[in-house]
This record gives sequence, C-alpha cells and structure tokens, in this order.
Amino acid sequence: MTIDVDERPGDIRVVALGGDMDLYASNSVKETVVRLWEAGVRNLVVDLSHLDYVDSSGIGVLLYVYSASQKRGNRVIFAGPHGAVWKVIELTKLNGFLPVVETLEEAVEALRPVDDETTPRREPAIRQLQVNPDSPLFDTRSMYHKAFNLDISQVRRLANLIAQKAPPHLRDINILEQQISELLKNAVKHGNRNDPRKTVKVWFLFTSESARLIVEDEGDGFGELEAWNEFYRRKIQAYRSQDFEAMMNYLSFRTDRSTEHDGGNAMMAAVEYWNEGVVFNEARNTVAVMRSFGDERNVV
Amino acid sequence: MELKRKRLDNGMWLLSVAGEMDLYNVPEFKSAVNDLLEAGAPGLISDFGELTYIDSSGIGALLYAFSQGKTRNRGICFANVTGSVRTVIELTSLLGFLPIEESVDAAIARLEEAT
Repeated sequence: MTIDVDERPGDIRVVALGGDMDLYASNSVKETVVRLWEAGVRNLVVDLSHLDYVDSSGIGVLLYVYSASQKRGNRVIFAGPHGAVWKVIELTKLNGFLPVVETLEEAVEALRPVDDETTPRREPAIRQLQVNPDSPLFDTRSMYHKAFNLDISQVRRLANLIAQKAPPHLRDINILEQQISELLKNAVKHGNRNDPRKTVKVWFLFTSESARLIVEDEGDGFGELEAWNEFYRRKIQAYRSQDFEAMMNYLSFRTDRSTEHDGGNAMMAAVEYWNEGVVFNEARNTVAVMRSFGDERNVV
Repeated sequence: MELKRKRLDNGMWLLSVAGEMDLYNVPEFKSAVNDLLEAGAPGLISDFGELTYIDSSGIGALLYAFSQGKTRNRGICFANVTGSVRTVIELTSLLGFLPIEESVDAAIARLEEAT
C-alpha cells in the first residue's frame, strides 16, 4: 500500500492511504501517525479515498488512531471511504463512531482554525531567559531561605528535600525535583565551580497554585545568556519547522566551562517548565523561577 | 542505574536501563552504547521501561547515543519512553527528533525496516 503525508495550512497533516491495508501495512500506518503526533502534529486527516481494501487489522488501526488521538487531545477526521472500505466500516458499525466525512476537502475545512482566513496563524512566542532585577520573581518576602555549602553529590538530595514541601497532590513531583536539581547543579558546578567553600543560597515557596525558587551562587554570572537565547531561538525554529538537520547544531549549548558529560540542555527544559519565567539578576549569578501548576493541582 | 545487555535473534543489541540516569552515572550508559555499537551489531535498541528519572546529562547521553549511531551508520531506537522521562524529553523539545517507539517490538520493526 502507499502512505503519503501532506501538509495543509492551519497546522493540518493529511495522511493519504492507497491500495490494500492489511496487517503489515496497518502497522506502518500506525507508526506514521504516531511519529507525526510525536513531532507535535495535532490535526490529522486520514484520507481513505484511494484505499481499495481494509482487513480487520486495518480497522483496528483506524480505531486506534481515533482513540489515541482523543487521548492525546488531538483531532482526527477520516475522509472519503468508498466501495469495500466503506462496506467494512458500515458492517462493523463504525460509521456512527468514527468521525467520517465524504471528501478530503471537507475534512481539511473542518479542522481549519476558524480565524484562519482573516488572521495569519501565529506561532507561540519562543521562550527566553530574562535579565530583570526588578522582576516580582525576586521578591523574597515570605519565602523560605537557606544557605548551603554543597558539592555536586548532594544536589539531588537537597532538591528532593525542597520538592517534598510541594503540595501533596501535585501530579509530577519527580519533574519538579528534577527541575530544582538542574538549577542547583548549575549553581554548584558553573557558578561556584565546585568550590565547597562557596555558598549556594536558596529561597523557595510553594502554594497550591505555584512553585517559586530563587538560587544564588558566588560565581561571576551567566555571561553567555544572550548567546544562549539566540541558540535556543534557532533550535526551536528548527524544531517547529521540523528541520532536524539544522536542529543537530543546536542540541547542546557549550561554553568553555562545559564538561564532557554536561548535557548542555538543562536551561532548555527549565525555560519551558518554569512557565511564569526564568529571570536573572544584573550580575546573572542569581536566577528566579516560577511555575503555575494549572490543572496539575489536586490530581490524586 | 542498572544496565542489561541482550543480543536479539536478529543480531541487534537490546540495552535495558533501569533506575535513574543522571550526571552521576551517564558515563556508564555512554560507554555501554559505545561498546555495543563497536561490537558491530546492525542496530541498538535501548529500553527505558524501567527508567524512572532522567536529568539534563541523561538527555545529553541520549543525544550522544543518537549521534554515535548516525556517525557509525547504525540504527538506534529508544523504546518504552514514559512518565517523567518522556516529560523531560518533551520539555527539551526532542519528541519527534529522537528515534522513539512505544515498544521494543516496534523499535525492532523500525530498525529492520531501515536496514
């Protein structure tokens, strides 16, 4: 069988199937769709108008695509089944269950964002590190405060202790701990250069809605911040346009302090995780971050 | 972190990782990947089904494995990437970029198809 993927305006992908969809082909269809989802595609048309035959494994995959799409909060529409394929869909009573329309164009139209004709679709802004000593994120009032002489082997333990203070029903405390730990590691390793006589100061505050953290080290600051922002901007641009060749150049941000086993990607996740901002002071040896939990709260 | 190596019937290596992968132990994972690629296998699948934690150094190690596979022209695929490990990969904007399949079988199928 043939599987062709085509892009349509409005962030829509069309997966066009042709020929016979049997057991072997069905697996490829599933893999293609899952790969698109993994790459961030949210609106999918599965074009069946050139499909001549589908067996039970094929029907299974169409059902999977529909239910997995629902689960991920994505949208999918099946277009143009006819002949034997339509018969099987009818016989298995799926025509009331699967979202099916007669033509490809109808499907694309249904998925297109309403305002697409009048306003060009805007990508969300690419997140950046900020420098702003006046940011409210630096307001330490009512925050817990502690100072530590840490070496790198103690970082995870401390991050864990801090994360324990988070609201008990937070869905993913593991991630919170991991993100706290990355900021502490940067302070110990790149800030204090593993000098145990130097201090790391930490402030933190959790409410049911948010987590805040400030980490200060005794280093000479993140001087490459602007370079990092430019580096990250290029990475995300490459990622969004799925230019994976270009993306190869922006996977790991290195400075002259980077060591072999540094990932060079800690702040990339940080700037996404701390959704209310990652802000540095003027000297850039202190970072303040905040995350709003939104729907992560009170999920048991 | 615990690493288990297993040679599959098709000659590929399966490297299963359990526990936590972080800056304290990434050298182990990297050298295991290197050894297995050096052993001349047609492909390497790393199973993260039992991996409970990953940090930025761990993400760096996955990227290392990926680029080593590319350089040596060997297929690499990660399987069973779930939970917080998946979240960190997602936060780092690497979903869709790294070769990931939902199961070891799917990873095998992907690598066999590529060869």
